[in-house]
Order: sequence, then C-alpha cells, then structure tokens
Amino acid sequence: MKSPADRFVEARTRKLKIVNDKLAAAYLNRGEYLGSFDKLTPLSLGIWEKRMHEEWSLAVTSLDIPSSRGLGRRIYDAAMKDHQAMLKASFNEE
Amino acid sequence: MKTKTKLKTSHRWATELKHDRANMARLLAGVKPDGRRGRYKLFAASTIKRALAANQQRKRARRDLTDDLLLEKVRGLELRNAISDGTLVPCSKVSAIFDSHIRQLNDLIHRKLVDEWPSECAGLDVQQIRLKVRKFIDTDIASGMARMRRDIERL
Repeated sequence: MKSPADRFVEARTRKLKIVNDKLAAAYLNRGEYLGSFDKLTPLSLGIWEKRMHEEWSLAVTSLDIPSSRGLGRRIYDAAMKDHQAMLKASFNEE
Repeated sequence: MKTKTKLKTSHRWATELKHDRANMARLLAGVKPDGRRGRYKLFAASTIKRALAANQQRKRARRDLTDDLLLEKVRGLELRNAISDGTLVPCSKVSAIFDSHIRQLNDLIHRKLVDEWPSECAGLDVQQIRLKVRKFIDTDIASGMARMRRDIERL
C-alpha cells in the first residue's frame, strides 16, 4: 500500500514528465536537423537532375510549345512524388 | 555555436531542483566532480543523472520514488538549458522556414518548366537545353537550398 507521500511524489513526477515530454516534442536538436538537411539536399538535387536534366530536356525537343508545357507539368508532378517517397524512405530509415 | 556547460555545487543544484540538500550531497558523495572552484566541487546535470542511475542500480530492490522525481527535474533543467544555449530550436520556426523556402523553390521550378522554358527552348537541341537546365540546377536550386540552410542555422 502506497503512503499519501508516495502518491504525492508519483503524481508530481508524472506531471513533470508530461511537461518535459511536451517541451522535448516542441523543440528540435540543431545538430540533428542540420545533419538531416545535409543528407537530404543532394538527394533532392539528384531528383531534379534526373527529372529535368535527363528526362525533360530529352523529350522536349520533339514537342510543340503546348505539349512541352504539359510535359513540364507532368515532370514537375513526378518530381514532387519522388520527393515525397524520398522523405518517407529517409524518415522511416531513421 | 558554443555550448555552455553549467557546473554547480551540490547545494546549488539542490536549491535549483528544490531537492533536499543532504540527499543531494549523499547522492554526489564519492562522485568525481566535473570541475572545482576553490574548495568547492562542481557538477554538471549529466553527472547527476549518472549518479542517480548508479544509485537506482545499487538499490534495485527498492526503487526510490524521489529519485524518479529528481531525474525528471534534471531532465527539465537540461532541456531548458539546451533551449537557452541554442542547442534546441522550436520546431515551429524550423518548419516555417522550410515552408517558405520550399514553396519559393517549387514555384520557381514550376514557372520555369511550364511557363518559361517551353517557348525559350523551342528550336534548341538537347545539348543546349541540358546546358540551360544544368545552369539552373547548379545556381538557382542549389543556392536556394544554401539560403534555406543558412536561415535555419541562424535560428
């Protein structure tokens, strides 16, 4: 059987833990997020490189202006999907 | 950024954490101090956490509730110190910077791909187009990323 003093200490600990958890969740470690940013930047540049430099530039030469606008839109959407997949994969890894 | 290590005497820690001074002195008795000021031994918050963990292992059979409370107090203090030192930064500010920079970059790329390049690139061969795209990736996108990094580093 716990004494009233023990229950009081337990309640205070629980309350403090909730406050600390909230505080920890609202803040990011500067070193960690800069590390993630540095890791993700080349991946993002790689996606744009593949979609724009390799695919778009090759396909656009044989198209008229309205079709190349449509191609641009499709390439942009595909790159956005690649980014989402890349972010998902990176954060699942961690 | 230089991180400040806050060293304090056991009495000072006890006052700050609203813990019993005698208990704190007992907890830190025999623990190697992180520094000294004259004849006073100075301890870091991480040392207190280690001493608490060692203390809890010693008396595994009977877990002291006040140790758990002290541990949470030290954790809170460490968090607040990290915030004031700049080791921790608010998620909301980081995401605001990300949102604004990423939106600008995406708008720029969309404008180039859909509005500007189709007419500019009409009549150019693959090599000329690739040169144009390469220049854009290496300058505009890369410098946008660098600007974003600088901004979040400054927080």
